[in-house]
Amino acid sequence: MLDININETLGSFKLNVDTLIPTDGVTAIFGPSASGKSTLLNIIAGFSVPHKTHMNSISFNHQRWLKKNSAEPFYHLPIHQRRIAYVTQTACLFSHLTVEKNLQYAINRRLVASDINFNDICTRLKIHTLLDKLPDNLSGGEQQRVAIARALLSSPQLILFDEPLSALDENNREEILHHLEQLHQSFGIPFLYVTHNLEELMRLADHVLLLNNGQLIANQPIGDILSDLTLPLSQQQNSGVIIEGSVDLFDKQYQLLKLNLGNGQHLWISDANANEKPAHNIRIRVYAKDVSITLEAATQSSILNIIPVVISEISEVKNGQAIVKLNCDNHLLLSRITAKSIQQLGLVVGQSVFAQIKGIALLGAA
Amino acid sequence: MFLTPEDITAILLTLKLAAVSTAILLVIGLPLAWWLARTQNRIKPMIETLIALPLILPPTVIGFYLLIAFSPDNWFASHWQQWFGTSLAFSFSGLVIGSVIYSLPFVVQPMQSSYERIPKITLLTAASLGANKVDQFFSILLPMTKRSTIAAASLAFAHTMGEFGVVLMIGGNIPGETQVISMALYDHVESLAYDRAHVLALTLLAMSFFCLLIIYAIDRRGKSHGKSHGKNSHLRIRHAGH
Repeated sequence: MLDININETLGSFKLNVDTLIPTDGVTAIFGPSASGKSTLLNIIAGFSVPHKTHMNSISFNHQRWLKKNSAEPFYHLPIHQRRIAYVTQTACLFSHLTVEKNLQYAINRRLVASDINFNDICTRLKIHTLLDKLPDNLSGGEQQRVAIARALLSSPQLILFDEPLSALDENNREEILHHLEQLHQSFGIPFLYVTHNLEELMRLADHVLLLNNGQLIANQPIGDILSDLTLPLSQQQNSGVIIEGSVDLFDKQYQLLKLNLGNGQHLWISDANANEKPAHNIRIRVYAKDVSITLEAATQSSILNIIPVVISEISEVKNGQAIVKLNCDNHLLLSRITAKSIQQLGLVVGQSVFAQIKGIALLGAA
Repeated sequence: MFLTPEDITAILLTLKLAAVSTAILLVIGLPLAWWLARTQNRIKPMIETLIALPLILPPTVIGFYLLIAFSPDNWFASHWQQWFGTSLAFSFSGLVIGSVIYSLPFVVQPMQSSYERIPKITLLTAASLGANKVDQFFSILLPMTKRSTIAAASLAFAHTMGEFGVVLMIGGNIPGETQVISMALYDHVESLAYDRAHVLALTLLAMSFFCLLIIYAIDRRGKSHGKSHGKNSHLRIRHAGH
């Protein structure tokens, strides 16, 4: 557990975060710009040191990183003793060292022995051909891959990411996202990931800290935070849910995965790249705008996925739009429909209806 | 017309003084410049002012105060005598102390602005990868500012070679101990030995010229290396008060 209690005043900006963050999987720190995300990350990293008289504390799995209370003097564990790695927007490679020496820099300063292997990391991040180059001669995406490799090779107990994709173009973003999805599963190193991008949040996060104007609004698992109609995420234009589950079978003829939702229900997910049934659980995203509601299951429809659900909550957004929360066994869906539809169909909480899902994105392994 | 043995002694002494002073200046000046580049301490302007003073003060003023500090009844000088068994006034050690103070701004100022141009996040990243402060200095800061460091060292070296006022006040004119080129030259002129003065003046001129040539050649190369950190385009040789 990362135990944080921060009460900082920086000019007119107040940052108040008192919470516990799980130290497995990916925890995203999410919020609009100037909500204090990076400030919080920098304090956790030790990059900015809070005022010595302010009451703050941070401990990581019972290792004290920062402490000040009325009984104890100020304590700040130096950055180099925290066993963290930090990946910024701009990669921040050491420009006087080749890629290989940048990676060696991390390996030479490990505080504990590790079986994270140089060649393995280079292969996974496809940087073998870059090793002799200087950072200035790399593209943005290449630099970021090297920065991530360097972070992993330092064998950290936590990796902090400060919007690592925001300086990249669309192709590079996609590639780095893919690497990040793979890496956090392979190494079991917790990630603390600052972003304001909902797409990145849905793809990577297991857990979310929601910040607004320096205040912690929510600290919940990704599934809960996306489907909580009282939180701003469900109200956004591209709101949606993610569903994780096991694959029952792979239909080779149509390139479809059959995702088990429990209780005899399933979803068909198109996967053009699959050759066989994946062994692991998968994560999918369903946008609220892609889910419509019918009172009876349409039998003659091009839509593959029509499943029985129960309405658990209805919230009117604005401009005649509404978000409806739907339960299917223990999975949740959101549906964005017009307020007029709700009135015409007479939708009420507790009603059994059918959800027609027009589009599902396969995000990767869960 | 050739250099006399006394002149050669003076040249060697000058080189020795410049070398020792430059070495000490790097040891003191680089950490000091790093501290100044990073600190937000309230005494920073005070320290910067003190370091810059030799740029505008006549060297004789510095020399005068050093002379007083070196007098045997002074606390500092008497302790020095106790620890090292030699007096500071009219000694090579005294000259080194004077040169270091006199040339300190020539190392600290360019290095401070060099260090200020290295993004803070670079060193923080090094720290997160496990580098402590000393490690950061040797593995990141020093290699990234290699050019500036060489230029600053050359400048300090050249500046120390040309020193006169401070030496005049605290060094006296003892051959082999404190008689540097500028003092020997002054002697020659005083005794109307213009031929010897010419040779010595020319030697100092040539040495200074090549020192500066090295600095500007480095500066030029630094500029052509567009992106690299620690380029020396800021280099300015200031007018000292002499």
